[in-house]
Amino acid sequence: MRRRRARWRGAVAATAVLAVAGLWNRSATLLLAAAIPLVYVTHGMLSTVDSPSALSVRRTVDPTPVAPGQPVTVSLAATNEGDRTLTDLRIVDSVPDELQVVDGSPRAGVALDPGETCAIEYTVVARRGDYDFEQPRARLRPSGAGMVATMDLATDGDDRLACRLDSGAPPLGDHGDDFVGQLTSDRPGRGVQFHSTREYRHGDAADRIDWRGYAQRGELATVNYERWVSASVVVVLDVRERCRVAAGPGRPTAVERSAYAAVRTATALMRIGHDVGLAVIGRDTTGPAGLDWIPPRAGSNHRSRLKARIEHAVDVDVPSDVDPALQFRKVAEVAGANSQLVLVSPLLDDEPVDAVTSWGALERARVVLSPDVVTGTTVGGQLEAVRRRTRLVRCQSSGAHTIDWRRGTALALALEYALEIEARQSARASPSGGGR
Amino acid sequence: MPFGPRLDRPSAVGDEGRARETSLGVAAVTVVGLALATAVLTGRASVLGGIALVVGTTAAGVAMLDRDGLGQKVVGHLCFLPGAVLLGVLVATVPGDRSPLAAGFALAFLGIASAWADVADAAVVESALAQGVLSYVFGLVWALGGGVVVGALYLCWTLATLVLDAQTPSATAVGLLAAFAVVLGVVRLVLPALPVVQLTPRDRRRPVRARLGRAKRALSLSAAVAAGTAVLSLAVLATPSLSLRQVPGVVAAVDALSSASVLGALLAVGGLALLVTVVAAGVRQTTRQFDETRTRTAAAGIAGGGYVAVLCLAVVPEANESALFDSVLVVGGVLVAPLVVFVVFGAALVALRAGLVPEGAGGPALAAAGLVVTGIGADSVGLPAPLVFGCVAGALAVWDVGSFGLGVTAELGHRPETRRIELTHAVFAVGIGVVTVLGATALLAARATTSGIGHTAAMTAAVIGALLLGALIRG
Repeated sequence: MRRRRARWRGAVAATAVLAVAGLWNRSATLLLAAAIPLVYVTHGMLSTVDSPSALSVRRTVDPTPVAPGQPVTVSLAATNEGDRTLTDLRIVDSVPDELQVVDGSPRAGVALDPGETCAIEYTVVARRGDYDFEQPRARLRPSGAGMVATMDLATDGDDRLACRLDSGAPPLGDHGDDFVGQLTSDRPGRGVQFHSTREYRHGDAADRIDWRGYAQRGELATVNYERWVSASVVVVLDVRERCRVAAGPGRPTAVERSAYAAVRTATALMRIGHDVGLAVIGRDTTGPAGLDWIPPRAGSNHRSRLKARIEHAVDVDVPSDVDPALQFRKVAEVAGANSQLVLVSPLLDDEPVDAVTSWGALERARVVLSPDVVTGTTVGGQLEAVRRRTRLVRCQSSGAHTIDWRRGTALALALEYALEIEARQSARASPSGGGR
Repeated sequence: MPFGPRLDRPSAVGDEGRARETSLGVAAVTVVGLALATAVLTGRASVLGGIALVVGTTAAGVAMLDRDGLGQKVVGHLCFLPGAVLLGVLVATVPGDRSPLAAGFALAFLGIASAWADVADAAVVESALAQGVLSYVFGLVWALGGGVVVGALYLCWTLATLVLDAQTPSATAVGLLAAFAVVLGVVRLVLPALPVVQLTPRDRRRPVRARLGRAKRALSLSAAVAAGTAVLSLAVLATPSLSLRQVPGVVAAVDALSSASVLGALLAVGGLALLVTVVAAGVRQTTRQFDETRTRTAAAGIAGGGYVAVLCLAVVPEANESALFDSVLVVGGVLVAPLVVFVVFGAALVALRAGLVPEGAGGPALAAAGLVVTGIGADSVGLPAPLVFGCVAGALAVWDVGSFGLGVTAELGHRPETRRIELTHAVFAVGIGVVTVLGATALLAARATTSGIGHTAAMTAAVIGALLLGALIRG
């Protein structure tokens, strides 16, 4: 599509003013000067442009699929395959409305010689879902800029950004080998790694007797190894309306980030042999106290069920009349005395903190994983950040382990160490609880 | 950031904000180059330099007034109104035949400066105008308040002198009573404003409040009694047969009370109470949360005080020493000149609102219009024809690159690197101008050397024809 633009109406007015002034002053100089604006007008009229048909564009989206909140680099390479120089080419990539550009610009203005390529690179923050990129739009102008030709450019390469809750390698995959119960604890027992020795008791297995010590000292002793334990864990996901906020337009909401963290946590725990359950706070279902509740189990089918339920919890609207305090209390009841509780919440109010404190009174092992969605660029945001950190400290002071998942940092590493430490402490704290 | 900090707040995405730097740079260089050429040819570089300086100050002031911070707004006030007044004075004092030249360059500079600062916008101009009027009103209030304070101080001084220099004990007593009445009245008036209750521990505030109430009543009563006694004593003073000398011991008491130390202490109490009240009120105001309206009002108030201070401490004494200006004329000019500035800015606002200036391209349009006026002015004072052609071609080039840069901003925002397309366009715009100036100069020279070619009537006919053509094609 080509369109002519009127840029020189003022020049016609200048010609008129100069001509009148020239006549008034009887000045040939001004009369001659009155013709100068018309030169510009004529140049604008005569310069034309054709649609940029000899332009090839290739788009790259990397990485995809990707987890919510992760930065994704989109690159666009435009090559002038014609034999004429494009003096004023402007390209704008069609970023999906739901995505936010956080670095670079999807727009460019370049002059391209024949065979020359220009690169546009920008970064967006991924949100859960599939996002299709429309064709980028190009505008070409001649040297006089009096006409503009607009067209949508066909692109090669990627045209979709896929963002999934379970994308990326599981955080504990490097350490787990899918053997059920392979999680060492500080408690002595059966295992492979040396822990301590004790006096031999009748009935101890022969392969646990310290034969080397018997040969040296003549006394029988039994070797303790670091014990393998397996825990029952309930992931408590906070999806209340209060948590459906984002750090900015086009950014994933706290619920999306929480859901991603919940899926990653559940996947990691199940890979290393724990039973994992799910309690969704904020929904009103037929479960106990309206909880969306799945009891702890293991297996790939169970994992799929958990993931589907978490995705559903992110997508559906939540009612505002739910009593979160009741649901938090109910979680402790239905999870059972031996279950560990992993609360995934952005901690934007005091309800989760009160819940963690009350679970502590019931002597439950607790981990609080809190995705950070609070922006620090405003005074209000900074105040909210201080409040959130205070809530994390309150959780910590009640005996819970806290993981502050900041924006832009990898969840995997923090999860890996935090959950391992938590499992060790849990096994040491309650000898009869959770292990099997 | 090759051109220093930005004065506007642009969008990173586009649709608003000033033109891109490269285009504006070319436009600015064009205007400055023509100004330098004119300065060399006319030998009045200082006038153009002064105009450029105050234009920059004025544009910066308008931009700063669009900010939210109190300090920025105060600086904006101190730049805007004084800068605009000085600009008007500079242009008005240029000799008559050269005034179109100065006015044209002032417009051109103003257009370029406002394009850089992104203030050629109706909302920004309206805001600056409203705040300028507010600061002017505050300046008048400050001047009035200052006059009242000076009057009060003079009254106190007269009273003290009267008491100290009185010839009779009766007159001294009357003056003393009047001084007592004034000081007690002042303390009574400022007592509610003193932060006595606020500085008291919370558990003791109730008895302190009660005590303050009693103190207020006592002060009111004492002031009334002192004032009444002073008025009654005037009757005593007017009766020659009655004199305080007849009362034993009173003369010594009056003499003791009317000593300079007692009177000084008495007046110091009143002055201290006033000072503490002013400080307390100032602290209260500054510690309150400022919303936008309060910030604007406070900035205008501070700037108004600044105007008065500068006027009293610098301008009037300077004018007194100068043989050229009379201080009364200066004060009158200072009072009237801002009103003229407001009228001019009001007219500009009306033009912007009425759509007489291209939307979003006010800066380049103003600069181009200024250069056209400069071209006419240059021809009027007989400057060389190439300069006249250069001014007109420069006007077109400034408009071309300026509006092009704005278009780039609107489409692409400020993030992408667009220098190459801007420079390419600028080469065409300036190149056409240079070729046109050379062609017109050659044509004029040919007309001068060859009779019959380029006769004025023929040229007029050609121009009318060209105008008709232009009206048909309309750019």
